Amino acid sequence: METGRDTDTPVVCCQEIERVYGGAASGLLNRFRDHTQPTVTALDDVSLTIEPGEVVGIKGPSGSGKSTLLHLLAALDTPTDGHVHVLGADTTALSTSARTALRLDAIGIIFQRFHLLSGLSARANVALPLIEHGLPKPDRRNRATTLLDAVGLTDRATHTPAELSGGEQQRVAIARALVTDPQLVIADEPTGELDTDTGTQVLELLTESATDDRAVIIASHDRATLDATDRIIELRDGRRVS
Amino acid sequence: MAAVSPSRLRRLRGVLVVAATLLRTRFERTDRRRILLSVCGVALAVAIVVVVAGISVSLASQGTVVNSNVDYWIVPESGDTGSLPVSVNTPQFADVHPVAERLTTDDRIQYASPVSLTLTQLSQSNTTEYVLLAGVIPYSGLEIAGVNTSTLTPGDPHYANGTYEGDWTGEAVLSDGAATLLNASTGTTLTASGRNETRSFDVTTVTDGGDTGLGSLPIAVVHLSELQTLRGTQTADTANQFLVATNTVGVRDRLETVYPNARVITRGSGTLTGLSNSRLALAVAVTGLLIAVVLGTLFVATAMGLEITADRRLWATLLVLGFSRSSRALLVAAQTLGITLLGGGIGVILGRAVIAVANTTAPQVIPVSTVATFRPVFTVYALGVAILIGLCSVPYLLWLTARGEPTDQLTA
Repeated sequence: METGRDTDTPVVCCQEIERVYGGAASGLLNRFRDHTQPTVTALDDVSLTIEPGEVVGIKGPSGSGKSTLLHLLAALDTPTDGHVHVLGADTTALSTSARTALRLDAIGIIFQRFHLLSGLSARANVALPLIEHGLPKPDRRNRATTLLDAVGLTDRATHTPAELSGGEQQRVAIARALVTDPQLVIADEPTGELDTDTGTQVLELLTESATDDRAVIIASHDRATLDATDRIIELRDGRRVS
Repeated sequence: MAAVSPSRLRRLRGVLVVAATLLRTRFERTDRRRILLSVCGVALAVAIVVVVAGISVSLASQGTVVNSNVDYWIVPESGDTGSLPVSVNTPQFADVHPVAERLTTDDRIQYASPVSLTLTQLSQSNTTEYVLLAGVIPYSGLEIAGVNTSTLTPGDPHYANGTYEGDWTGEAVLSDGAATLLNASTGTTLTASGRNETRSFDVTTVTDGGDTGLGSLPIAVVHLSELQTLRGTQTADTANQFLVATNTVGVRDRLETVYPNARVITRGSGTLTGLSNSRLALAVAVTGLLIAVVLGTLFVATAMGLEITADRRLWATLLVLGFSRSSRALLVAAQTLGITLLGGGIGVILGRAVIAVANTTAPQVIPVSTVATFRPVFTVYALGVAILIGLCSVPYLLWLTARGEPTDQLTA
């Protein structure tokens, strides 16, 4: 929940990033066992820049490296080589806890399968990241209610995820991703589990959430979803092809 | 120490509320076997702790010739507090009558009675048996091994300021065990054979043996000076120990100065102080505690570990949302401690029930009146053990939550 944002700095800037899985064994036991796993290059020499206000689509077939790229942009992972800058911060230079704090402050993430906490109401799910911010309860409640209003779920605030449809759950997930007012929103197949009409509504919410100082990245297989974005980055076999 | 910021406190409170909600959800969902297993495991462990502590207290109480209305027990430093019969041959205190008189002049002391114990041959008609003969200065409320002394003439008339020429009351109170052994009842005249002479005692009352943990103890209680006369120990005016009743904690210091080589042992009800006076009882209690903590920790770590493994996506989601390591650790710890405290509460009830059942059924099989004793303080002790079990389990559970890649869980 930063204020006084710098809209001149790119939201995301990747320089020749490479992500290789496997290779040298990690973990104490594996080291003793001398296990060596086969290496898989998930991303190879990918560079990209995303400016505030942009809605960028990432497309590519399964195994093309879409999810790996999203994880790197969301500071959930670090590249084997190259640098990922999110809001000017080099994620490769950050500790795990600093990357966690970066996600809390500046990145909203939306999953294909929503990943809402089943025991909490829609409002409590939306307010969850605000707990970590240490906001007073009335502020958390007001902010979550405002976001639920914005995604059209005013009357479903007290319902648990099990009592909501797939589209409603995804809208709750969007509200949760936006509740901290992040500058980067990352959505991984946000319409993958939804019917066409609901998917369209969710997509509108996402694209509308891009503001002058916020970028939205949507990874999808779906043509209609990608058509709603400003530009598309295409990956194939871990390399950027467009 | 740095003050905790309001923001941090709000975060702490918020995380605890989420933990409570998640815990409630775990009990509400269809598949709650793991969580119930955790609760049952802790309940079992805590019940063991309560029962073993009850047995320990009962064991520790066996050595006393006192009841719960006596607060202090003064014994010679080298004396054995392990069991009553053994204490017969312990070192003796001398000049006990004047000391008891001095003690009772202290306003804080309700009464102080020396107790002399000896195995003596008592006979009536054709029956002759050895019983434990206890000599005391009777006071209202004083009980020896559960035998109430209130029917004996108060004070010690035969002592008569050290002349041992006062009235010989010849009164004796018998436990039902002694009465059965001697085939005696109220009014029966018993003959006691001492070192120097033979004396007669009339049975004034036969009482229940009382709750000593030793079953029906054959004991006869008489006036101290009369027992001393029987044994020929008037000159030294000796006794094995002192029983002191008081309402003031601060009197202990005074009691410790009575004899240079004496130990003052607290026997107040509701305390576990007495445990430390019995190595066996202490060993039993410590063993029970260790077994319970290990057993409970294994239960909780296994069952909650399965629960946390099943909830991998939840932990991954919280990590992705930006929940710090400390907040996630607090979520795990709060839920674990919630479960162990619930198990602890059930364990206290279970333990108490087991003690009640054991005390009801055991006397029908073995010659004891009380197997274990429940004290209210056990509740606090048991909940402390439950918290300890939770704290021992938490590091493993935290390690489990940190295992694996969160991205694998969320994209699967």
